[in-house]
Amino acid sequence: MGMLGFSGMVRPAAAEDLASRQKQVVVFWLHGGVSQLETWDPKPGTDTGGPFLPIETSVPGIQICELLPHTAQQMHHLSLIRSVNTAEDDHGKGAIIMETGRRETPGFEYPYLGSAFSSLLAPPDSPLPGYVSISGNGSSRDASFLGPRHIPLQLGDGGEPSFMGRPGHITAEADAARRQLRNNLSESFAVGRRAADAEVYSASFDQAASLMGQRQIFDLSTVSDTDWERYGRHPFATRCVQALKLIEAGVTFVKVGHTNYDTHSENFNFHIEQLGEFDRPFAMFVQDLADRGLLAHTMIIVMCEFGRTPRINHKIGRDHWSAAWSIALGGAGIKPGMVVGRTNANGTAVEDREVNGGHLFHTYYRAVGLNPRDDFWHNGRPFAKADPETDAIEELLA
Amino acid sequence: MSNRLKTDDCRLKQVAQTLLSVCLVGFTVPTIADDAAATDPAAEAVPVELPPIVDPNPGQALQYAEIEVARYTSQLAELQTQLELINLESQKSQIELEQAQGALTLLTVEVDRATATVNSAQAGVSAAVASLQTVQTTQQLMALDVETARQALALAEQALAEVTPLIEQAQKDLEDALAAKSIIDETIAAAQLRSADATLTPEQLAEATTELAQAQLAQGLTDRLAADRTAAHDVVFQQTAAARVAHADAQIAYKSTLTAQTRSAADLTNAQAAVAAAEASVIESQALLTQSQAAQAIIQARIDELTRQLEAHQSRVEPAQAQTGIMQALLDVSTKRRDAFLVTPPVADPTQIREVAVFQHDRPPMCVGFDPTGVFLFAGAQDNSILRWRIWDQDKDVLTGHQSWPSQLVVASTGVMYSTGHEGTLLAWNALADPPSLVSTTAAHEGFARALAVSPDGTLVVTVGNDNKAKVWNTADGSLITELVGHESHVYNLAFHPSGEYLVTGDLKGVLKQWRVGTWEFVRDLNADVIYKYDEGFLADVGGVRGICFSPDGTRLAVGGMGNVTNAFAGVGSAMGAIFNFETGERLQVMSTASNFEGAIWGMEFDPHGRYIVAVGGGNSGALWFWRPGEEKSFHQFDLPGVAYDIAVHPDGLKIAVALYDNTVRVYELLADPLAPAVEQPTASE
Repeated sequence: MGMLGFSGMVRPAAAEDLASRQKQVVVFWLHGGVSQLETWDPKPGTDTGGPFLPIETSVPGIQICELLPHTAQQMHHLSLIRSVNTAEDDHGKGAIIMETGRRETPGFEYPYLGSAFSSLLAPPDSPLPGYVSISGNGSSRDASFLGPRHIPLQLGDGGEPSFMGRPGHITAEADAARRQLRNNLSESFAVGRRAADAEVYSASFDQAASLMGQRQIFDLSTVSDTDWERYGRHPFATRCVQALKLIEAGVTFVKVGHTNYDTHSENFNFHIEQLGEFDRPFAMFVQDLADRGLLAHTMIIVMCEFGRTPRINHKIGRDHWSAAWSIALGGAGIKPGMVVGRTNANGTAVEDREVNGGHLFHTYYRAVGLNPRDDFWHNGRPFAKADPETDAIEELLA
Repeated sequence: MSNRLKTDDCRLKQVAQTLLSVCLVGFTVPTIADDAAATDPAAEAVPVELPPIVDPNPGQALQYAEIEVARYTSQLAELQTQLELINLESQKSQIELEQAQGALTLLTVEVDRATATVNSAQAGVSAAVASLQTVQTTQQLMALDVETARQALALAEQALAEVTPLIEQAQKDLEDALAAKSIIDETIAAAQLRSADATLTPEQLAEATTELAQAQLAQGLTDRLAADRTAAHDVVFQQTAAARVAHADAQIAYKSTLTAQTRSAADLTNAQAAVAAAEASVIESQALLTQSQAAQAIIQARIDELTRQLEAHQSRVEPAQAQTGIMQALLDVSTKRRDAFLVTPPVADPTQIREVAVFQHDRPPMCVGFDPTGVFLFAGAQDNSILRWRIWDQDKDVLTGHQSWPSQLVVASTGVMYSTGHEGTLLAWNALADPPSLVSTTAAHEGFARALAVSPDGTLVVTVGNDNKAKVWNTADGSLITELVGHESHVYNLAFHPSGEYLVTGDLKGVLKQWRVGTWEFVRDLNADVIYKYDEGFLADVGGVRGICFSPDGTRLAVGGMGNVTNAFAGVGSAMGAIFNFETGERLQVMSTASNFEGAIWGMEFDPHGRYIVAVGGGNSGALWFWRPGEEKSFHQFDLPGVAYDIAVHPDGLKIAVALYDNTVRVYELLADPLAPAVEQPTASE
């Protein structure tokens, strides 16, 4: 059962072209920090395990939490890293580690993964945005020095960005004339005053104009009832459907957010609710990418700021925990069906193959065919794309 | 046993001693009634049904108590009848045994006598045989005598035979001689006459005279011959006579020996007959002996059988007496309990509360319950186990069976404990057995099974869970009776109306659904959304009907949870509840704590007299709160050493157990209120 509703979006020739030359990335960002014990690294029968049972997956030998039954059936497309230690229990700082591959650096802002890959992977002349965030937060800060083109285009649930339509009282001719006039003025202003800010200003208009020509990628009215049944009818399902449409359209980097997992109280009840929402559309998304041949050049990462404490607190919650947690990833450049690393019996420490944000970034870069040891150049200075002190997780790379 | 009851608490010790005295009689007793079981009473141990839990509704509890008293009375009567029957059977066996033993004694004499008879008969046979041998010897001698006599006779006959012709010849010769003489004589006579005849011519005379002379010559010859022959005849005659005498003697001797022989043959026959008779006598007496021995064996077997029977009867006496004793004890307990309801139900003063016991585990307990006798305290913990502590000495059993955290447990009046678990199962346990054992496991819900309730009459168990369903189960056979479908979110808790006519289930979104028991039709919704919120920030539902209870008279329904939520995921909200007029469905009050306690209510119970509602829960710390029905704010708060997840009220109505995050179940005691206004006393007829 394919996503027939999306099939008209990309011409087959263009899809092949994309497959051969452009890697894409989808990050599922589980705001607040999903519990690794209730997802990828269950510890049943221990003092930290909680009430849920593990289930078998489509990969013999890999068990995940029973709250992810649909995802379990897609495990052969995914791999797990169960030995992440980011040593940062603050939401903002943890997010920076996961988004930039290193700790917050005073006086310098490294670009976020979405902006970096938009910059490094997206065709420069594409009318499509390189980095779209669907309820995944994001700001101009994400792009840092990479320029406004790589700032995330932020979408809400199931709608196109604001002001996509030309106001009705302005004709196309009048609009083109207005744009031409503005360009003329900008060019004359730029003569002798060439400046980044002016270029940014001008580029923003060009980008907006391009995007206005791509309105169809936000149109979900053609999605069939069958597909809505498969994904579900709730905001996160809509985000997944939107993400699939954007990937099919060729958008380089899509970040899909899901709120919220910061379950200091009643961790288990809330994880039932949140993962109950997450599981099915995420699994459908993975399956559809695979069925449509898109997974071969699209990397999927499920991540967040950190994991949650193995210790179950007095409110039957779990608190922030970065010392031993997990992420899931798969698709382009990633060997499927693998488990990297191991935590101890009750998940309180990494026992094997400890990795941090740097290792993850090296791995992401390598997976999409980029060299993480190349530098960004900014203001005449080189900045390492990934923490040079770390390496890729070689065994995970296809 | 690191946390013993505080020894300075005399009252609890008294309670414990009372409980001990009840419980020492044991929780398992052998069944009696069938003979097979009677041979091994211990193998047929079954749990005794124990008095019911005190329902929050005293009237209901009284009903239970009455039912239990009646039940134990009838069971006791039955047991006593059985015991009498056993005693009668025992006596009957005893008499039969004695009779059989008497018979055996007689038979033993009989056997001895028969044995003597046999011996005597065998001696008779020996004597007869000896006698026969003597007769046989005599007979042989007789035969020789006969033969001798026969030979003698033969000789005599021969001799006789030899002389007989001689005598006949001699006789004949004699007769011939005599005849010749006679002829001669006649001739002489004739010749004389003729010679004397004158007429005769001389010639004639001469002739006559010659003839006479010749005749006379001849007469001489014949006379001699006759004499000789007479002599000869006499000799032969004598010889013959002798032979005849000898022959006669031989004949007599022969006959005499024959007679003797005949007599001897008779003697032999007699002797043989005597032997046969003696042998027959032996056989007869042996048969008699065998018969009496067989009879003896039969009687012995009968004695063995009767002895076994007697032992079997006697072996049943003791267990039957034990069970009768237990039943008597149960009857006493239930009678006391019933009487307690009839006379002076204790009235607790919630403001007088203190900790009296700490039951330690190594993982947080999530649910607690007492058994109906109040002897045991049960808790389900985060290590998936259910713990059973005996209250007075904290003797602890760990029950395994759940695959995930137990969510709730209830010990029914039958002694069966039901528990639900987060793995979705309903488990039944033989809770009062030693050791307790798992009876059955039922897959009840998809996702968490969150709670259960047992109907007031004990025939139904209802479970609720995260599949948004309530499921009704038959306690008799564990079968699913029906599913109650209608909730649109996880069903958190439930309660039976004290009348048993209604069931109320409550869900995550504060929706209370009322169902009619039996037809299982949906009756109406009650709105408890004061303890629910959809958090727009976290995009999650928060709240739920965590505590739920009916007033004892069934006119009020109270629920508890968390309201006024400002931060769902940090659990920032207020411990709150709501109370409804159950007849009209109207929400009477929103219940909140006087301290505006930040946290959630996790469990809620009505006082057995309906005088107050007690709730337990917490946020960053834990507490017990007490409300009077009709008042919005709690009138008393008792701080706990940690967040509490569940509450259970002891059957005595004075003790409260709470499950705490600090790995303990703690028991608190409310003092009875001596100044409490008289509580309307239910009557036994209600």
